[in-house]
Amino acid sequence: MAERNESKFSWSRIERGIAKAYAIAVIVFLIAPLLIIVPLSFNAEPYFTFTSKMLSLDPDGYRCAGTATSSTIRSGWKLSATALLSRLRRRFWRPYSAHWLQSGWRGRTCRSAISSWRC
Amino acid sequence: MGTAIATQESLAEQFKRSGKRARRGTFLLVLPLLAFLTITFLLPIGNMLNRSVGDSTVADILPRTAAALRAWNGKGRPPFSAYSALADDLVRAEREGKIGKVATRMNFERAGMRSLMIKTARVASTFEPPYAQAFNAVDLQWSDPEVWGTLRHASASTTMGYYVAALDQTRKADGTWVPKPEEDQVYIMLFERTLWVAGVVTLLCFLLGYPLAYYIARQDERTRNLLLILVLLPFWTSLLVRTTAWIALLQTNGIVNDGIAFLGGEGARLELVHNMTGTLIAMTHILLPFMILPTYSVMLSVPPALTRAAISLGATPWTAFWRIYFPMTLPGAAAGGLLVFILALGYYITPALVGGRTGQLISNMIQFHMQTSLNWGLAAALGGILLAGVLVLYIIYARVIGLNRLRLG
Repeated sequence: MAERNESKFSWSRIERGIAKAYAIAVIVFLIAPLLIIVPLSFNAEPYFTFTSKMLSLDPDGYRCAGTATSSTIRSGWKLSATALLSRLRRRFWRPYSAHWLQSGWRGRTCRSAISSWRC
Repeated sequence: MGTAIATQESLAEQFKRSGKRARRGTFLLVLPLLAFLTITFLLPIGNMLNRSVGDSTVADILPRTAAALRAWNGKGRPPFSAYSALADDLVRAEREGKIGKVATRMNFERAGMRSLMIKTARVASTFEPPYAQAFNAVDLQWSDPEVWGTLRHASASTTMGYYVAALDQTRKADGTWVPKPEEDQVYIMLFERTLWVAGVVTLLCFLLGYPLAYYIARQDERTRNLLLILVLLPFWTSLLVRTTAWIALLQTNGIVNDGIAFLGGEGARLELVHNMTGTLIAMTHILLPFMILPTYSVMLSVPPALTRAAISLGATPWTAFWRIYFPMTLPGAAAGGLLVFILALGYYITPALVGGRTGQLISNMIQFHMQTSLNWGLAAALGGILLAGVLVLYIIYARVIGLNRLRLG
């Protein structure tokens, strides 16, 4: 009896499909501006449209954020990455560096086939 | 016996004292919030309301004129003393460099008053009795009692002039209100349009949001969380970016119109942005999560067994939904609707960007008077009317639906 009620309550496949399509449509409506704004932010032209170069996936149709800003961003990224690496080295590597250099297995690691570093 | 009564009294006193202490503690806990709300919410609103009715610019700069006109009832010609008082006040205001301020203030009351006053103030020092002829010689407008009536109304320290203007009315010299000519009426139409847009956006949000909330509430936990993230995704970017993205989507050469042109030819392109359609679409998109979240939250608290029980008793799935589930989830939808409606009433940036000329709302006019025409009194009056409208709607809502039925989850 319970099973029969359960099956009666559950939607038919068509109803479920319609509900799913409606939900997807509403969600697409919600996120459409975000989907659009991300590629448009790389537009090489000063227009707020998808240019033909962008649509044909021509690299000339895209740029980071203007030539001058692009170099600034790149140098900014480089500086940030260097700062991050140096911080990580200080935090995680320095406490163990002395131990690493004095350990007997240092040579073995250096000689190992896995590591090709010059220690 | 006596000891027992004494102990009982002391217990009651102790209980009372501890209750008082607890209440004081609670009050101290909410005190920072109260102070914050008072400073950031109540005081600015109070200041705004005060600005909408209080303006002593004319009374301060033209004190003798204000005193002379106070005795006049606005009928017939103003007293002769008013002419001489105004001549003296204009000379002093010109000398002190305040004529521009008072002329601008007068222009808010009646168009053309600024040039009239500045022109008269320049030659007022040469006036000699009889002053009435001297004023008329400068400009015949001074023979119009309505001009003096405007001066009389503006010289009061509290004025209803801004509200009169905000309601598309004008005041005669004797104080009666008459509607402005139809071509000059702006604000009532904008209030009506704002209410209409807020209503339509609320309805659209309900039509889109309720089924989606229902769909999400019926999924398993993993899918539910994923869908909720998608609903909340728009909040991860700024409102300005989202609104601007709608321009890219809806403009004549935008993605939506490209799709329409692909299906129906170039002639099928539609005007979807910089008009009312753009305002409705963008506002619905931005306010939709405010409808979905409270509705979904209430839907989660409805036991699924209730609908199953209704079906087991013979109801069809639709009847079970309509008679059992829907009424139980209505408080959430009502809370979402109220939230969306109130937010939509005061929306500014979206209509400003995608609304064009026909999609502007009253908030855009408030911004215009705050930043462009610098008529803060009128902006405050428009804001005051909007606030009163929201309060009236809130009271109607409380009476009809009941605030105790409002639920956010």
